[in-house]
Amino acid sequence: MKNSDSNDLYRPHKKGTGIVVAVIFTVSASGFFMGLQQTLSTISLTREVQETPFVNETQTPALKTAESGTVPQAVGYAEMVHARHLKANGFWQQSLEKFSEPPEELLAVVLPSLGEKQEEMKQRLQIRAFDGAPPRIPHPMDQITDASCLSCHEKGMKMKDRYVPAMSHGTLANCTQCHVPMEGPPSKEAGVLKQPLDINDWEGIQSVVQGERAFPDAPPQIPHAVRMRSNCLSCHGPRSEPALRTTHPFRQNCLQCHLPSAELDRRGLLPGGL
Amino acid sequence: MSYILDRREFVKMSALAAASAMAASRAGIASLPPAEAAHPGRAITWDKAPCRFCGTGCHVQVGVRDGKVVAIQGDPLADVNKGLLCAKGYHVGMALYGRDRLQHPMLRRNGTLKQISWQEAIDMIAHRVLEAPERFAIYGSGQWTIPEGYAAQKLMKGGLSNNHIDPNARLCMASAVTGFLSVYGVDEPAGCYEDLDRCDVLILWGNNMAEMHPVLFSRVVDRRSRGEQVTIIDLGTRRTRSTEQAQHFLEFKPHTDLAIANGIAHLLIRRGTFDKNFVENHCHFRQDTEEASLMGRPMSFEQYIQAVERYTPEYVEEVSGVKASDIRMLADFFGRKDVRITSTWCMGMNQHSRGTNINRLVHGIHLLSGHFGRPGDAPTSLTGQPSACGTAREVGTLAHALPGGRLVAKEDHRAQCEELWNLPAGRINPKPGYHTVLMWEKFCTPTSEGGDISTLLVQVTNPGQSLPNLHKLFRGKQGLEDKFLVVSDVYPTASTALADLILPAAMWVEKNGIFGNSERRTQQWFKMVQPPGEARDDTWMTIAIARRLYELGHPGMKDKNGGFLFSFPDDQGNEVPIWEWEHYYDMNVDRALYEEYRPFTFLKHKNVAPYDVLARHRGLRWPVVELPEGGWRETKFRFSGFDDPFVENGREFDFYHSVTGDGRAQIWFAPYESPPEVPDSEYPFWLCTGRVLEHWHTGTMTMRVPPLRGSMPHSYVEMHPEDAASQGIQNGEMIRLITRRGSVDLPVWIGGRGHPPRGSLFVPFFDQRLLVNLVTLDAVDPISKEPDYKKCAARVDKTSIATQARKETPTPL
Repeated sequence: MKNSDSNDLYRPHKKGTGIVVAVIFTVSASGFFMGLQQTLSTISLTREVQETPFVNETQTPALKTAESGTVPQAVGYAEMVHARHLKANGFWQQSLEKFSEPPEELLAVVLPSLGEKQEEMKQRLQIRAFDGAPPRIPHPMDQITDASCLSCHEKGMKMKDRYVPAMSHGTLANCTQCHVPMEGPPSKEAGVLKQPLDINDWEGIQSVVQGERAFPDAPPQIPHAVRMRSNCLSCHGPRSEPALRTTHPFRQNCLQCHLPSAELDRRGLLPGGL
Repeated sequence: MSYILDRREFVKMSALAAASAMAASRAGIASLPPAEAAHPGRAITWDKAPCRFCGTGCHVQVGVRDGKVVAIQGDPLADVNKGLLCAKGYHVGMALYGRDRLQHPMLRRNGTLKQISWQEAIDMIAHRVLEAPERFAIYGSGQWTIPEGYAAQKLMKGGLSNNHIDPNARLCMASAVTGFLSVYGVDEPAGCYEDLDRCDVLILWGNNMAEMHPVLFSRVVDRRSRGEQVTIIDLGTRRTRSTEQAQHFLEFKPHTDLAIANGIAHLLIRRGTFDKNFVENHCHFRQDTEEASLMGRPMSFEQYIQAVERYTPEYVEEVSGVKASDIRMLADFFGRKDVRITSTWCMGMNQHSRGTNINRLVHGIHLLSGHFGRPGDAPTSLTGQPSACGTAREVGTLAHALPGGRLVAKEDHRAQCEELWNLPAGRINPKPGYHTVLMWEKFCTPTSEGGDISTLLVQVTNPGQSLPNLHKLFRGKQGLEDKFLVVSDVYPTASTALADLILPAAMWVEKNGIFGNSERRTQQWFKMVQPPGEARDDTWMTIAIARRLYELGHPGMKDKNGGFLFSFPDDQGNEVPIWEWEHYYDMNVDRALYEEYRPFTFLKHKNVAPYDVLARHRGLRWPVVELPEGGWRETKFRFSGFDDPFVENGREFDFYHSVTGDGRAQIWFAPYESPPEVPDSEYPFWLCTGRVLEHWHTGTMTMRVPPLRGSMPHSYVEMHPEDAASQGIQNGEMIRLITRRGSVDLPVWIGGRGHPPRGSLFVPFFDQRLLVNLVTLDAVDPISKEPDYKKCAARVDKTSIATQARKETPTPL
């Protein structure tokens, strides 16, 4: 079978370098000129802000534009909190579209050690109360809207060695219903009001490091429930932490070899049964 | 994305994958520790239970291993939540394991708590009750399970002939109850959650559903992800997460929702777009009497037209601040027959000094426009507590009520209860007892000045934090030597802080239970783990007190035949001494009490399902009727001919408990009236209180759940940035919030979870260290007696906070 298109696609060693160089050049060049433009006119604060498509009305106060030849007027602290574009992830629409990701490393050899896997599991527990609990949000976020969540978490992203997991489940509209931020309101009395969280003796089930295998080379069974984790690539795909990554991301039908557990999924529950 | 590989590439990749797999297995994965790693889930047993927290009634699967809850999953077979939960629900299991669980009965003597035995504790309560039975009161809860509330109800009204029993639900949904009663003649919503799946328009009446009933809100907004259209209209006094998902935000001045509802009615009448057929066949018009009353008096259609005459869109705009064009938009929707409209509300309409009236009006516009009784067309009140409907409303643990929708004031209702309880005629006292606010006022007033409640038993709730105007209604107890407060709870709370006797309680899956949720769904669960220390079931406490009173000779503890009020036989017919803790679980007491209660529900056609049927389901919505071919059928849409088995054959709608006795519902008129306290030059701000997603009720459970507490570690006051700027207040700064009743210091959060308009403040009430209820108003609705926590006048003071005050460490939680 001869297929030149696919050959082109899968020759990363030759073409990949070229693409990377081109991307770096384009990004830096455009960044340079954009930067120039900004300093020439007004700073980005005074640029007209494109609002999220999820929100109909906004209360962004009209920002004062500097007249040519004058210094732009800074946004007051009091206004800042109401200026949506100044908040966490405020620029998500513009900047992320320009962001270019490295190509997926479908052929990268993934050989995490047991220690690395255990370390990764420990990391995961930092933001989960138990295996199956929704992870908390480990970064600042807008408290009133979750409109920007999907911009990063819909498909997932990789930036250098940082990974942004894709949603492990289908789109559910009210993200903050389950995923809560890790930071509360600001307070100058935080020392008194934010008391230590070591107040509970809960010992929840923990993530399992490796699924059971019938024999050494058999495909491991899925060691966790698949409910709300229907997108395997969220944690095991090419844009995930190396310690959890599959060795064969090019295979598309995960459940063909890796079997979910009826027990863990609470399947076999008949209507009217327990 | 799909890849097309040629053979050479495929072989290369396969080899690579195999190599890495082998390398991986050599890297020691085969030698992983066994146990959980090798056999995940094997040692875990799972069972169903409704979530402990709100009135939504989601079902969870509870995973138990080695006698401890270790995992929670959304129950995929549950009709309410279909496998989804909220942040609280996923972490509900952790609420059992806060380190400071109460484990032993404690008596306060000379200011210090001393551990005592259960026997001493029960004996002490019984003696105090025996001394003055009429000065004893029980303050219960919408978190009581149905058997817990039923046992307390029977002890008080059937045993002690004392009606001073009221639940905290009085503070929460009493106005919804009076609304339903005066409109339909019988309590609780006609629709169900399926309305949320079917509506084209959802109107949130002062209801931040995205945070307070997130699972139900998702049921609506997730429809959009599936390509369905649903218009959400948020009527609110501040912007919230719900606003972010709404197409229209109609910001109104506090209390003016009455004018908005009347404005809609005005336009429906003037334009002739009301549903003439529905109104002619199924409705009457009604208004209040001179002095507010539950059932009011009839009015003619012409009088109704005259009454709503003045509520033109322009007048409503003037009163409420909502644009006349937006009032017209609302009326446009209600005037259309091709859209289905669901209204939801919760505390915004209920905690309202005209709460009954606004409830009546919202039902009224749905009836007037015929947007009623078809899937998607419903006025639906949401409850905040897991069994406010089940225990407070259905069991009737209110000062004026008896089980099954009966009233203490009605002779035939009393007689029916006496018969069902096998009591001598005349046992039940015909005079309603003290409602919540009055009960606490009497308890906190010296006996010499008419404070005629001296012993108060609190179960499953935290009045020390949730009552309004706490200085007057709770802390007033301090220093009154002859008053005795007994609090049964699971953690130390603001209430146990003043308690003379603290009883450690079992919670949630540490006991059997039955809840009734917002959509008439009765839900049962079994005990799964042991409570810590000496903690025991609240039902057992009630029965043990009754038994002690029986032994001490209180005549009320005997039925007509001289038997004990709570006498249940085992399968062999022998009485089980369930008042002894060692024997309490020799039988299923929940089942026995519930089956005794079940016949009470038939009168008002609230037929609940048998216990054993409930045990097989994730809740069933009453009325549940047995089918001729066997099996049981629940009811989704009450009063609608196509679904409700009690509607007369052939009728499209039948309000079979009608106030007017003719199968019709009542469309009420009620005027807009000013709130009891409005901002002035001295107190220029509106103060509203409420909740946040992470914390439930007074936070005694959720503040002990690290992920929830980490997300929302303390309370705050929301403020508009311009108001803050005008007083030089920065984000995060501590300010003093002052009303005519007191003050509380809080950090300011600007641009946070909610965005209030200028001149308006918002404070969540979950934080017991920052008690906002020290400053709220205790004005109540004249009919429901529910306090208005949503509005009072306040000012904020940046300068008055002395450094000294801030150094005082708040009560550690």
